[in-house]
Amino acid sequence: MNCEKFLTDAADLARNQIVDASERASARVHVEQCDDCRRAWNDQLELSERLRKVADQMTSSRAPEHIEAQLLTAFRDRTRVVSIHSAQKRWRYWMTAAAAVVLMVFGVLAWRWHVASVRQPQVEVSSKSATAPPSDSPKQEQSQTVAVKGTPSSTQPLIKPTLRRWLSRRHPASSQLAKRDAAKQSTVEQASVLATNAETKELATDFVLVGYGNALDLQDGGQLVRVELPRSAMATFGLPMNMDRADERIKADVLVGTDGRARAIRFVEVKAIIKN
Amino acid sequence: MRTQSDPSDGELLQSMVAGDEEALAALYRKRQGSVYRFALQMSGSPALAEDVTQEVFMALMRDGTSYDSARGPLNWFLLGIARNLVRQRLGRERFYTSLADDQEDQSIVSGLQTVNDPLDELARTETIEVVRKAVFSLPLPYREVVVLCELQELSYAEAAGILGCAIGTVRSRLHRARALLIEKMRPAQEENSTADGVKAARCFA
Repeated sequence: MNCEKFLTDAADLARNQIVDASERASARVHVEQCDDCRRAWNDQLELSERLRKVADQMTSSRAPEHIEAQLLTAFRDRTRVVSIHSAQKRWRYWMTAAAAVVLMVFGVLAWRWHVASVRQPQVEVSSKSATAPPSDSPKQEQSQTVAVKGTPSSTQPLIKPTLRRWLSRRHPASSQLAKRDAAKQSTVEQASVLATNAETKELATDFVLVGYGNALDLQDGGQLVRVELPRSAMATFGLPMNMDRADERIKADVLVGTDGRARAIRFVEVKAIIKN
Repeated sequence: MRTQSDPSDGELLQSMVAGDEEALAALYRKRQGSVYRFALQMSGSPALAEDVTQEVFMALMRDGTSYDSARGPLNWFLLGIARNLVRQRLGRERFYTSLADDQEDQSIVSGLQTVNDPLDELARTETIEVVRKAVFSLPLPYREVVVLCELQELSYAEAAGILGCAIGTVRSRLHRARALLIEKMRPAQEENSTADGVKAARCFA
């Protein structure tokens, strides 16, 4: 064994950590031959001895009694606190569960109301438009009113005004869409009602010559073209008209000759006649 | 050898976690000594050692379920907590100077048994004091291995398990720590020998 090896193992040798007998023997031989290593070995032995004394002196050292008492008190308190905590947790758990159920119920109800609100305004608008449609004549108004009154849709219950206002405030876009859809629906319903319950009848004026045409030209034949003109056009042909309805439009049949020129015109008014 | 009436640390811990106060008391009585001594040997302060001991078992009460028996005995776990707490406290208190140092020194030394010869007793007390101060002057990594391997008389493997490092690291740290201790104690020895020489010269004069 050389000095380097001995100094590396000196601490382990002093602590009896090296159990190899041959290694211990060679170290003992080296110590006897080398003064420096002998000094280092003595230092190690002395240190081990002193450390052992310190260790022996403190072997009986223990924490004071009051610490155990404090710990046990803390343990009891903790157990009590834990039990209170767990009770509170249980209470919170059930409250949270109940709140979740209530929220779900309200959610479902709100969704159903929302769906109903989307449907109901259609009915309402259709019924409104059906009761007050733009009509050409009072008779037609009356006939449409009568027709709509007889439809089953008008018997459906309307949404309460407060709820409708709330829904329109909450979902303005959907309410506008619903109204638009309802208007379309009302038009379709109106047409279908008229088709089922009323017969249309056309009342026409006599043909009036257009321009400086000759009545004999009408004999040449031609083609009738249905056009729509403002009511005010009737006045230009010398026909009586209600000035209050001048902006309204009226249908007309134009007789177009073989040369493509308009020969004559007659005005046609479509009227609905109620079957029953 | 463990008997039926001597439950293991793991069993005591399980009972304690389940709320058994007696289990906590038994575990405390069984393990508080090593924890307290470790904290005392590391810090030199009985007050700090008491606080650390209490905090270690409070931590065990709080997080007892975090102990994994696969990672080592419960004693390692407790000493590991104590080590962290001591490091925290020493780090926090290193800027303060205790006015009760002398009192603490007395309290540590008071554990000495009285021997027949008062001079031997005095020499022994001085020796222990010198070693104790030398140990406290070591850097923390070296102090830890000295306390665990020399003063607590644990093996390298046990110390490595507590410190969470390799056995080779423990061994090399201990060798370095012993070399430092020898260097630190040598001036005191030389001073003592010089004083003895002066005394002898005076006597001869």
